[in-house]
Amino acid sequence: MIANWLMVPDIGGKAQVLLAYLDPGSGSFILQLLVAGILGGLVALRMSWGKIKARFSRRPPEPDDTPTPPEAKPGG
Amino acid sequence: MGDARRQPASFRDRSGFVFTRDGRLCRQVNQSYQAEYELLLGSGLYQELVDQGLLVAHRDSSEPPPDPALAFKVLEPERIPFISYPYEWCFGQLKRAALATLEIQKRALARGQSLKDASAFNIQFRGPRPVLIDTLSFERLVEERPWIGYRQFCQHFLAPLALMAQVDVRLSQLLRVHIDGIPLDLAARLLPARSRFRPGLALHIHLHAGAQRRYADATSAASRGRMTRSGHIGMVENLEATVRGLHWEPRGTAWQSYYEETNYSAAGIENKLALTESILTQIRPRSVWDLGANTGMFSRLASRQGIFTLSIDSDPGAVELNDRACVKETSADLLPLLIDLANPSPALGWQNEERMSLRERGPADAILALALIHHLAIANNTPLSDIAAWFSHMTRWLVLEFVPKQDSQVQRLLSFRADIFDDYNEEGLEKAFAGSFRIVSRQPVHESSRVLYLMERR
Repeated sequence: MIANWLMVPDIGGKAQVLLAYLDPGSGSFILQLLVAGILGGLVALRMSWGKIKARFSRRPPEPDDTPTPPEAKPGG
Repeated sequence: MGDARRQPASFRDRSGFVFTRDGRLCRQVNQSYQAEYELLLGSGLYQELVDQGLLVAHRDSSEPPPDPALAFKVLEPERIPFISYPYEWCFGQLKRAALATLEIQKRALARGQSLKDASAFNIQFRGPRPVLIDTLSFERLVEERPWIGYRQFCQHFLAPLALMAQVDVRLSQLLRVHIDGIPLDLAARLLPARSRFRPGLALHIHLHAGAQRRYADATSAASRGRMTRSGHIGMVENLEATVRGLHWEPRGTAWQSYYEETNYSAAGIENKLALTESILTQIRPRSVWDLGANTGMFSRLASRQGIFTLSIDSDPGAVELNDRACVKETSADLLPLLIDLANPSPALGWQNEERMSLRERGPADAILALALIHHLAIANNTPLSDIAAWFSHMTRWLVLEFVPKQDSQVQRLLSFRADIFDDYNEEGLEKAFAGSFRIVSRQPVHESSRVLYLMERR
């Protein structure tokens, strides 16, 4: 339900209706939900690929001295 | 203390509004926006965007709010030298404005926020650089909810850019009719079939228009999906790639012939440049509007002296080339705009007050009207006295080049029509302008039959 997406907990944890002042358009909303999965998946894939590449391409001369790159969660 | 005058364009968003008082521009932020405002500043997003030149800076103001019952605080934003509108921008300007909007959205997403609108009217230009002027455009990101500004972005930016690139650059003028951007079903109908084979246009214009039609009456979603943060990033990156893939080149004889001052010898041009420059040094105007500026050769005489200069032309190719030069020069004092002086931008929107007419945004301190008068008087049939009256509303100083009938440019305009312009000569011009202007100087341009006047409004 469109209305349900707009019901989110606010900073204090209380439910708050976040209705936009602008009409986002039902079709525009639904299209985003349909395609963002694919586009977001590609972003997540790219981010993971970047991490894998980074892990293998950086060959530290003394492995013990190099800090491990921080884990970034693909897809947030 | 004077009365606060609320800006007529500032009514849609209840987060606050812009007002002027005693010539100062201020923005009231309402209590309903307090949490979002504090997040914008507290998250570091405000400072990051200001440092990148993507958002106007502001300072807290001690001005009393005009609507104290709603007010959280009052801000005084940095002023933009001239408010321009998307239908006055060339392709390159609209494209940079689109990319700036997406860049802001990407940076906002990275700091847990999102643009709650994507209006092209929220972008202004400082020289060639686009900047967001609406500090209240941000909200806390609700990850599972789609981007509110998506439809507006496609209507205000993507659809006109696609139409300009793939159909005809003059279709940017549809933005003047459709003040909330070009309807996507209209864009989809006007775009060529090949646009469906470009994934970005297929998705954000054609499928988007289809989804709007199909789900027009939807009250509950057909999909129960939720957005993710990478979904938001994916959408913005895809829009960015789509915009970057759109190009327009000024080509063909119609544009090319314009760029050369064919009626001038090299010495003639040098002399006209020197005369104009010495006039500007003499009158030292605070602002200059160069009307019929072509690619802005004479506009730069003013902007290089640090004078804020509008470089106005009705030829999209000339404005595009002018803008490209501005990007290279990075001068904040020169703004090329696409305006047809025979039909300048009108007042538009609710009560005809949301978007100002060209005249309302004046007057200029000085106008350069070089090789312009024959276009107004002969091509547009405007009587000389009407032209004089119009100029007198628009400027104090007028630098006017008179192009006489024997000039080949005028002969070209008259070649297939009756010469009904008996008073079109120096004497007729001086007589027509005498009521509203005082002639300060009158200098012939070397190796030509043209004359350069300096006039001051009476």
